[in-house]
Amino acid sequence: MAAAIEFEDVRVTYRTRRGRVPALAGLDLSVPEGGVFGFLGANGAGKTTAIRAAVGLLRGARGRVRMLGHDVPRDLPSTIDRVGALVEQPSFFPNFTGRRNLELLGRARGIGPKRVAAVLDQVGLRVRADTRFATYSLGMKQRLGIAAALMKEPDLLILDEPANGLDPPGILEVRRLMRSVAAEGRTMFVSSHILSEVEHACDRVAIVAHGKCIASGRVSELLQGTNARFRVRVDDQRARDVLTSGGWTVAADPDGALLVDVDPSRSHEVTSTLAGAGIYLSELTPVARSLEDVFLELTEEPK
Amino acid sequence: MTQLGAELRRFFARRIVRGVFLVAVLLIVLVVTIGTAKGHRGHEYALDPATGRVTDTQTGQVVANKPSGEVPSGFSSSDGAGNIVFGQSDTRTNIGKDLANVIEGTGIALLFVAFALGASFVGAEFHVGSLTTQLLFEPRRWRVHLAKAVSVALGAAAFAFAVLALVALAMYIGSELSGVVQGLDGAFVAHRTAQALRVAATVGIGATLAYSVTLVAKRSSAGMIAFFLQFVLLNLINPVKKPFGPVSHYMPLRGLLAIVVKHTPGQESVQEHAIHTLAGGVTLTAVWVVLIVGGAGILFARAEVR
Repeated sequence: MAAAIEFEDVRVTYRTRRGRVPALAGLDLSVPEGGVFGFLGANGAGKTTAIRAAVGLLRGARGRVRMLGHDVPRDLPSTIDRVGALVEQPSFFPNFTGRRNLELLGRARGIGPKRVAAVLDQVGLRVRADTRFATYSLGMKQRLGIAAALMKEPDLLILDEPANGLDPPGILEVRRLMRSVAAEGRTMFVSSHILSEVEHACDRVAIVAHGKCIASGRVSELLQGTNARFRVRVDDQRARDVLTSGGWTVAADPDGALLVDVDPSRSHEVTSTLAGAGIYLSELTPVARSLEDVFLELTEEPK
Repeated sequence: MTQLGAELRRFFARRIVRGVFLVAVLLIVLVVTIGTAKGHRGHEYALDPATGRVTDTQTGQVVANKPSGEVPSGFSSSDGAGNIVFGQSDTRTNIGKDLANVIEGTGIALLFVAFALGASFVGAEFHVGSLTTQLLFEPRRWRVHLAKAVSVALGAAAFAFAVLALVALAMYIGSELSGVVQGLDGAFVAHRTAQALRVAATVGIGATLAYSVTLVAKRSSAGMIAFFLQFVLLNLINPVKKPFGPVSHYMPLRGLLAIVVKHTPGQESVQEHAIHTLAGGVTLTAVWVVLIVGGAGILFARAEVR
């Protein structure tokens, strides 16, 4: 499968008063064409820096960044018409109307008022299109940013935290929009820290921490992982020690049960080990993991 | 052209441009109205100190006799024949006589307006972050920079020319209503138009220089201070004294002022030691345009834009 975006050992360092701080520390990631790709990470993990490097706002990154098969920033002028992006906060001239802001942007790429009207309609801003940007709510500003990204009818749409400031209907609208863009064969690359959003909307995800990609793949693969979690309910205090000495990772569930991480194909060994110690369980059920669980497992700092 | 057109639209749609233009119009109307209302004809008399006789220099009529040796108030000078000439000068609005000086003075004020307009043009973009959005549509940094630099120059020059045209119109109306209208022939119009165009072009260049400094510093205040400070320094530094004097000869503002302010040959001034001719001003300004606009482009092409 061809890659829409590729990062190869990308390194970015910022100079601060406290010295040099790495924002990207050898990011390797390949985003396949088509579908919705979620880019997850905690604040400061390097998500926005990676996006800024991809769209050419950040110059001087080491390593290689390619977008739609072209090197960035060298070939960006020939690629940019196929890429729409919303990076961080949508930024427009506060005293111009939403429509005027888009028309001025579009002018530079030969995009006319008809297309501007169409995208304003698409993001639900037709009614407020002719009022000043400064009077927009955060959600409306976000919609205008998405409208700007859509204006070029891009093959690749990059949205950095698109649900920021949106109310629940707005979030649903963005999710629908992402799916509809992907259904047209385009690629959506969405950075977010709202994990439930990503879980619902994305086909594939990558998790970034400390400037590196620490996991990447289909959402279903990441949720499954190598180990599954089982809820074990027993009436014997010795059960936790028995399971721990058996080599399993055991945590306590708030309702009194134990949570045991185990390969699903070897779950019967939990039963036999406990039975060998004379402990009989009353419940052994698989616990459905969320993307949030996976994310926390992968990014949690050791205490 | 489309990029340049979009930048020009942004320039003229800004509130500061419209606001400053409105203030300029109000000031022009106010100053010319006051000047016209307070203007009066000149009177000149000659006092013969030996006889105490005062005569009107225009009509030759004796208007008074004063005791010998008494000096009249408001005396001005001696006429060379031993008489003391005194009186009041003609202060009526006189477009034919005064427009050149007014364009020169207004041009200096417009230079400072231009620094503010140029610096705030891109400073506002950094402030609201709209430059990021623009670069997502046009990633060629040099193209963006040059489109902005040219649009700032054209916009500020058009602004300045419009102000100067309004000044001329107001003075003409004032001269017609209660002043002196003399010498307004084709040559006068051509000379003053050329002067206004020269001043407007200089104002445009000044705005572009301030814009370029701001593009690197990312703050409007930096672009403005860089040029306002030069005005203070030019007045503080004696151009003939070392070590700072020679440096002050080559400041960007020196070149801009040399284009706007007409040099009178033989003028006795310490400023004579610095660049003061039109050719010198144009050369110095051209060098600074290449250095500042070019340098800003190089740095902008490598910078991270937020």
